[in-house]
Amino acid sequence: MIDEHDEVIERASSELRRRLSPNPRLVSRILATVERRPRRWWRAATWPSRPFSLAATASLAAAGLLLGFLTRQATEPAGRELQASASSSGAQALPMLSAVRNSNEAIPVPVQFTLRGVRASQIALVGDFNGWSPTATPLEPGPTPGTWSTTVPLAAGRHVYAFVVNGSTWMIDPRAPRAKDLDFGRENSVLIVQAP
Amino acid sequence: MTLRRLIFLSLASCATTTVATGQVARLDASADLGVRRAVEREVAFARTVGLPEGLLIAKANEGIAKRAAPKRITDAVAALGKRLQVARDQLAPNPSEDEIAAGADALYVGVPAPILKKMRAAWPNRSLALPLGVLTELVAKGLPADRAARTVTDLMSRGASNVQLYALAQSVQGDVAAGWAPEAALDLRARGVMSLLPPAPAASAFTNPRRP
Repeated sequence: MIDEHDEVIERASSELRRRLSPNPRLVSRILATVERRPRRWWRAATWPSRPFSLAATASLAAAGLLLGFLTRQATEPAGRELQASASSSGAQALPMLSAVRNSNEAIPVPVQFTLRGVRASQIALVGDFNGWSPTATPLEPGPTPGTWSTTVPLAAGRHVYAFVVNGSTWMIDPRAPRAKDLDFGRENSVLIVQAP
Repeated sequence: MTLRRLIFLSLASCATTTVATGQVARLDASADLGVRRAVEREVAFARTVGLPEGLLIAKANEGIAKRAAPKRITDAVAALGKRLQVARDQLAPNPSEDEIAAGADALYVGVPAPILKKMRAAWPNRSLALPLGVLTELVAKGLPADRAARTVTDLMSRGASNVQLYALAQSVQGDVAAGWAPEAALDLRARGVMSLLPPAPAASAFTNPRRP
């Protein structure tokens, strides 16, 4: 049991309650040293001395969004070269808005494409998802000789594709169903990607 | 909130918009001059009517990669332009680019245009990209378009999920590859999915009420 009036405790607590009067000379020396210390420019530029207000935060966030939008405008392709983006443009263009859909259906799913037993110097994946570009999606050689693979994010739905071996030889995926090509006569491979 | 978070927000918004513009289709540099001009015309038209012009360029690139004759390429691009327009109209009011592309693929294998409209009516608020892909694949495997469309639309009306539609397509594909008749495979697999779903609503989009 602790005695509430223990003399030792009383003395200790009274000592602790006693505020020490600061030494004025010592304080002035510390302040002078701090004042003389050079302020680093990067710290002044990056770290505010106190938290931002909500209004300032909202303004800066809006500025960031505007900057992002302007960046998009600036990075859109221009000039005479024939190219097109996923979004439509043009003054007379009809609106092509997406309806409110299940958000999961819009999430691309990573799909791995693999070829085995193919001796080649380079292999590319071409399909409706990369504009049939033979340079857009090269396959990487695997640890086993003759094994090639790449992973591509694909939207849910049906996709047709093929491989281009050594820049010229058309090759369908031997492990996938085939899709007839009525336009050009060369078959493609087909896969259906389901939404996550 | 600190400045560090604000910088992160700004960079994230920049990155998002840059990624959004990343899907750029470009006509292969080796395109024949005639092909280039024909594709330019089609793309210009597509732009004026609000169609996804990237799909036209991709079709031309497919032809170039397959070393098709210029005439075949320009014909294929023009035909795709028409299919995209029909698909967009049938999938109104506001189809996504994926849906328009999937609709054009369905038309390509012989699905009649009005079926797209019926599918939209069955699923007005969900993406049709996967159901259209399933239908396209079923028809491509030899099923009559009306029959396949009726099955897919009934499943959609009864609340089938994308996963179930996907499973149906995969199963039928496997059965056909194993030597089954496509219609028998579809019947069997569709009954399997139907058994997991609640009863059908009063009238399907495909049923015609009999007159007395």
